[in-house]
Amino acid sequence: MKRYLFLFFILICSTAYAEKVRVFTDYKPVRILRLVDKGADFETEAAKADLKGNFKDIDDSAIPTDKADRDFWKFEKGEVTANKASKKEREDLKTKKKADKQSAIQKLKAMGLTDEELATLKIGG
Amino acid sequence: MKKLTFFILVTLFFASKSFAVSEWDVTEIAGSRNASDIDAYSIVNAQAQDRLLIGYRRGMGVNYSSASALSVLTGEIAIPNAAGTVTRYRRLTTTNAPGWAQIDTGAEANSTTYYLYAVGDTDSTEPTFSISASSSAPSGKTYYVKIAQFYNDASGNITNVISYRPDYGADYPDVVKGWVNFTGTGTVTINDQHNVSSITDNGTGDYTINWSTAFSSAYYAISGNAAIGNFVNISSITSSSSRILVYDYNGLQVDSATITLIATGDRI
Repeated sequence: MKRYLFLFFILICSTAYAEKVRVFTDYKPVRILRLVDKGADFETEAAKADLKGNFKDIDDSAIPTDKADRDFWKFEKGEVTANKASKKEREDLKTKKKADKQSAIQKLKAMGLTDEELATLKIGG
Repeated sequence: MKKLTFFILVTLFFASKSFAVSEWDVTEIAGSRNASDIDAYSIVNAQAQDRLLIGYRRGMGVNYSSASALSVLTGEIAIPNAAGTVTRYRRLTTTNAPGWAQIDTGAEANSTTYYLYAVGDTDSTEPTFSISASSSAPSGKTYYVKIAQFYNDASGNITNVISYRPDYGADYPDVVKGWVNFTGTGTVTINDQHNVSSITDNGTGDYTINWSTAFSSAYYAISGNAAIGNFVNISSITSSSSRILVYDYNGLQVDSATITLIATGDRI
């Protein structure tokens, strides 16, 4: 019993001191407001940064530390995660743009433009 | 004859100098003054000097020395009593390191703002120092001047040392009003700052810094730096916030390990 009480108090204490952040969920990607000044409050700081719309206050520990997919973060089911569909859409678009560029270069070369002439137009690679 | 005597006395009365309280007179105390006037002239000149020097302080800047001590640089200071009727002048000729042995009363408390006072109670040429949690007066001292403050953090370490200075005020145009050093990769973390109330992570390489005390308009200047190969650009400025974008040399927005920003401008 004592062991369970001890573990209970540890759990309560650990969550009590977790720093909160405010996640504005309407933005794509979501925006995360962190307080710095001890006297600051979320409402005032949000107004300063012109942050609007829906929000959730969550523990800082729930924010991913790996920001590789930062541009695709969304808030869903109580947590911040990467929007895989958006990420794939962006990557597909990048791939298409790259392919389109190569296609255009080939067409210009077929018309007789040299590599040096393409370079002057800042096209190539 | 009586009328003549009366006339002479009246003339002498109005011809004699009145004891002005608003000036230092370099010609006094003249050798021609009556002995009975010496006190008055001495007091007038002393009052004028006191008015000028009662708040004097040269040097004696206060810096962080260690987690439990400060460092007071050399200088001179005037230390009056609370009523301002007596002022003691002290001169510090070597750097002093006041610490918790100089606390005025009680024991050191964590998570508390403390104030450092220069004290003139001891009859010596140099000031002593007192650390107090009171922002108005150290306990048990008669001659004191508050010269700095600091924060004793939750671990009992001295932080955020602010040395007061005789200045133009915090709103003088050439005084830096805010700065921040933060980590943009991983968890966005403020490493140190002044006048920053919050920071918003808007996306990759996109941050908004909110100022605790706003500027008088959006026309203030900011300057930023980031890690090697990364560049800080202004996205937008309001009187209470600055939004910046960080790019790499390929023109892509990136999170930078270290980002710094300084802001200066008008607050009034």
